[in-house]
Amino acid sequence: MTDENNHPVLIIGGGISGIVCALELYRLGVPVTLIEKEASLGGLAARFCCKASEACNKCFACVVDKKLKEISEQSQISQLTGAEITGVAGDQGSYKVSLAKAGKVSELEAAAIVVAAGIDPYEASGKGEYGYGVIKNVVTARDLEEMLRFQGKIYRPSDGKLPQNIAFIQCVGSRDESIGNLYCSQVCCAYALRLIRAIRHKYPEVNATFLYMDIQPAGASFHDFLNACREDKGIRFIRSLPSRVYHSPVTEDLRVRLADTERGEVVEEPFDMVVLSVGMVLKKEAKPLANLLGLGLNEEGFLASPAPGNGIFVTGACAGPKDIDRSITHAKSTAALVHNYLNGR
Amino acid sequence: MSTFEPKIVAFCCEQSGLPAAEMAKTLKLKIPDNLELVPVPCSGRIETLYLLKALESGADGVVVFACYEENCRYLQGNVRLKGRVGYAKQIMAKIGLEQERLEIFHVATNSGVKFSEFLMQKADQLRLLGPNLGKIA
Amino acid sequence: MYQKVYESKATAPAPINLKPEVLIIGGGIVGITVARELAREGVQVVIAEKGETLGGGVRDLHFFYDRPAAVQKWLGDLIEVVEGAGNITVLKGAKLKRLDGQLGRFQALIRTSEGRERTLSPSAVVVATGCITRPAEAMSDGGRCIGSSEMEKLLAESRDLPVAWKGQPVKTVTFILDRTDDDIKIHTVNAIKLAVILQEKGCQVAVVARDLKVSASGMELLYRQARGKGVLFFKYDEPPVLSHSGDGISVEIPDMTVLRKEERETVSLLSDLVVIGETFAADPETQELCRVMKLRTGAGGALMEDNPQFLRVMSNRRGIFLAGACRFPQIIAESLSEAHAVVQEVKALLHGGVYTPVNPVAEVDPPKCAVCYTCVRLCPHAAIGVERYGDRNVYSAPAEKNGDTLWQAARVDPAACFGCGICVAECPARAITLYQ
Ligand SMILES: Cc1cc2nc3c(=O)[nH]c(=O)nc-3n(C[C@H](O)[C@H](O)[C@H](O)COP(=O)(O)OP(=O)(O)OC[C@H]3O[C@@H](n4cnc5c(N)ncnc54)[C@H](O)[C@@H]3O)c2cc1C
Ligand SMILES: Cc1cc2nc3c(=O)[nH]c(=O)nc-3n(C[C@H](O)[C@H](O)[C@H](O)COP(=O)(O)OP(=O)(O)OC[C@H]3O[C@@H](n4cnc5c(N)ncnc54)[C@H](O)[C@@H]3O)c2cc1C
Ligand code: SF4
Ligand code: SF4
Ligand code: SF4
Ligand code: SF4
Repeated sequence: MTDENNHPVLIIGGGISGIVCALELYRLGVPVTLIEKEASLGGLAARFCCKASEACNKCFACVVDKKLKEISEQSQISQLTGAEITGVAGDQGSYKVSLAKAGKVSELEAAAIVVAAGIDPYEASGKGEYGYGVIKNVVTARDLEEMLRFQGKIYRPSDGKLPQNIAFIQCVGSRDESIGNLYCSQVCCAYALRLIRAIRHKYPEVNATFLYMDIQPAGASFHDFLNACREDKGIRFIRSLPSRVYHSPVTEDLRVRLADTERGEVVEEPFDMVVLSVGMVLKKEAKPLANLLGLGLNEEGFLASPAPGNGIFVTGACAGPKDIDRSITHAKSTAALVHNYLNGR
Repeated sequence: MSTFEPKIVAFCCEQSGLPAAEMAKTLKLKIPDNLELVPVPCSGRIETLYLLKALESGADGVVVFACYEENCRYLQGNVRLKGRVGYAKQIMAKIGLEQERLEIFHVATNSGVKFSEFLMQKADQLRLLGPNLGKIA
Repeated sequence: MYQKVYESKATAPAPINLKPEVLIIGGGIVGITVARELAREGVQVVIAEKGETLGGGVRDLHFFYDRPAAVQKWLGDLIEVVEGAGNITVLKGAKLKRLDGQLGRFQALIRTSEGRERTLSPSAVVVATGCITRPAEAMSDGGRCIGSSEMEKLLAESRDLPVAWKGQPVKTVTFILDRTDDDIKIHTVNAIKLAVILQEKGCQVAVVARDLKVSASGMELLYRQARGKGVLFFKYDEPPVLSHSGDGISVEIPDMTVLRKEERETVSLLSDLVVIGETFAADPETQELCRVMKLRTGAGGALMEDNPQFLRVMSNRRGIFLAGACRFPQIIAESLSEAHAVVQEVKALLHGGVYTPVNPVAEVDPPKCAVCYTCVRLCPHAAIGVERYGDRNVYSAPAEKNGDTLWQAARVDPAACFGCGICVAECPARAITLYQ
């Protein structure tokens, strides 16, 4: 690679946070290079579906598509996809970064580095009692999002039929001592309820059961949204996380063992499909990157904010769970800080 | 049915309908053959007259792809549109045109599949309805 | 077959000069943070605060939930920086009376409590007017039910001594959450934060909530820490019943940890003090401010509706931004993140010193305009005004101005127009065109 990629700012990670940070720096006239290890930009959130019912439910998924389009039209921002950082040398405002792209190694110089490495959805097979990966009709919310985005419908993986009765299990991989994730992922209550509303709008005959500990709010209009969910007769709220999911190998129907507080007993309820509302964990690839840059992890296992003044910044969900909305706000605020840093302020 | 292939004019808001159409194209989804896409900056740009003119000059059905309510890039465009489509439908009722020939459909940038499914359904519906008798061309 | 959606035009609208001057309305934590950051960029900042002190809602806080620092010291230092900065002017007792013009031509009239008036011509306006809190609805006689900020104060004042209220020792405290505001996490954050401190001081604390809203960085850990220290947590579906009992208050709730309904008993929490978080509400004055500034209001009279495509800190008018609790009450860290995002927006706007209108923009053909005000009313971005500028108009009578005869007609300000075309479609005289 040539000098044309030697821009003062290097952004690592082309998810929504990295994209917004790049666009904002570009607005301030700062040339940036955006590095993404996958073949295309967008990150996790570029594969989500629209969760509108009668009106928009504010999931922000469409904003990611818009920002993707915006950056694709921006030829002045160097966008290197399929590229990975292999080494970092130098310090304090003059970093030399080695980069591998399509087998070729090259070197870049940068005054500031922004890490926007993002998150992975929690690997649901880690919660063996829910049977993800073993039982066909147990899916994650991410699987459901992709089903709706790319196929426009929901179906039971076992037989392709429309499930009549779906259970959503919350906090899978978050707020859980047994796996050591002692934080709330902050998005899954909201996305699960929005998915339920969207599904109930498309298929009014489908009923949903929401199994949760606490409902976490999201955004200025959440109050009305939650009231609409509570008034919806097809949504049952049960404050109890199930202990186990069983399945019948013959019919592939599911039974979920849960404490029904309404009825006051432990029951095994039948369901056609179970959706695991997986939380977020720091992206796998972020850890080696953190080592290269000398970044530490905070007590929740996300990237700790680096000491100010050495030109390294962390933004987006890799700095701690965030929804798309707050990732964008965070990325904008980071852009302002990077600009200050470059101007010696 | 006969070989009648209804002509559909689809007004697409550049904030949602157009990207959805592009997504449908990249995913190689089915869309009706006799389709004309008219991009508009916002569904609020569409005048009542456009809707009626389209029907007058050859369309068998008119569809407006607009953003979901509460998600308009210009805050009020889709709300204004709703009123105008209502008005256009009143006029259509007076002159005896079927209400099904005009419809708003809400999409987001990422609703390529919905976009294609809706248009295919619309084409089937129009095929059953038969040609638009109101056209002049 | 139909008229074109756009017309093309050779001459682009002229760029507009923007001086680095910004007006900030509201001197809460968000307002002063934006002011400090922009001042560091060399921007001339004026803060118009309606009260007599800076700091806003944070003045009632004494403890952060996520760091040991003392809030008032932190706030005091920040205020000192802001009040001492050469390019920040703080107007106290100040209210915005008028805002005329558009981006690049804003004219703001501010009246201070002494009745003095000042006219400013900022390039951008930041609204950070926060929200108000109403005292929690206490029990009929008001005794022994206090708000969360009173509890903060009590704890801050007691220092190393045991907690006392009106001279009487406090041994048991119950927090009741979510009776109102079930979509705001500040109450949970506050209750758990204070519960840990109280428990450490030897009190027995219980937190009674519908949902524990721990969706903030570090909150789940704090929640666990609180449980480890012996704070009791109860969740309810029906709000608890309060009654007087001896010198204290009895809070009664069914014990939901017992699954079998018939065995479920009512727990009575005998409390020396009951803490009920204040209710957050939009400032009634926000309505007036929005009228003056032609801004839109959303749920409950707060600023702006929730609209994903219209990202958080934007208002419906170009050059006016908003951040913090005026849109939605959030914890400080999130409010500050918004403040910095606004700083970025303002920097990007002022970058280069000029604003070049982006295509498309609407334009009125003055001779055709019937001055019916339809477009003025319907433009969501308040970009249209009626001015005397045409040299010919079939519908309205001319007026004299500087000896010239000028006609009245609607005029779109290209700097303020977003190019949606709503006005074009609505104009009954078809006098407006959208130019690319
Ligand atoms: C199941 C699920 C559903 C969700 N639903 C919603 C929702 O409905 N609404 C909402 O607002 N939020 C939702 N979220 C949250 C949302 O996914 C995040 O807010 C968002 O993805 C954060 O964006 P990001 O850019 O910070 O990270 P990411 O989207 O993870 O992007 C990071 C990018 O960086 C790249 N990268 C990582 N490491 C490297 C490296 N070393 N070199 C080069 N590139 C690298 C990755 O390939 C990736 O493209 C959901 C999350 C989950 C898990
Ligand atoms: C009781 C309470 C407890 C809280 N607890 C916590 C907590 O534990 N943790 C946490 O992180 N956050 C907490 N918060 C939230 C935190 O205080 C807010 O995030 C923060 O105050 C928001 O700041 P702001 O600048 O947006 O608004 P404010 O602080 O409300 O400031 C607004 C300012 O604007 C002024 N103003 C209003 N209208 C006008 C007008 N028309 N013209 C001129 N000036 C005007 C007001 O006088 C005020 O000074 C709490 C808030 C309260 C009230
Ligand atoms: S529900 Fe989500 S994707 Fe759909 S319009 Fe609203 S924000 Fe966009
Ligand atoms: S957002 Fe809801 S589901 Fe997700 S971890 Fe938090 S409480 Fe659990
Ligand atoms: S709507 Fe048309 S006629 Fe009425 S004021 Fe506006 S430009 Fe003039
Ligand atoms: S095009 Fe839209 S923003 Fe511009 S003046 Fe007309 S209504 Fe207002």
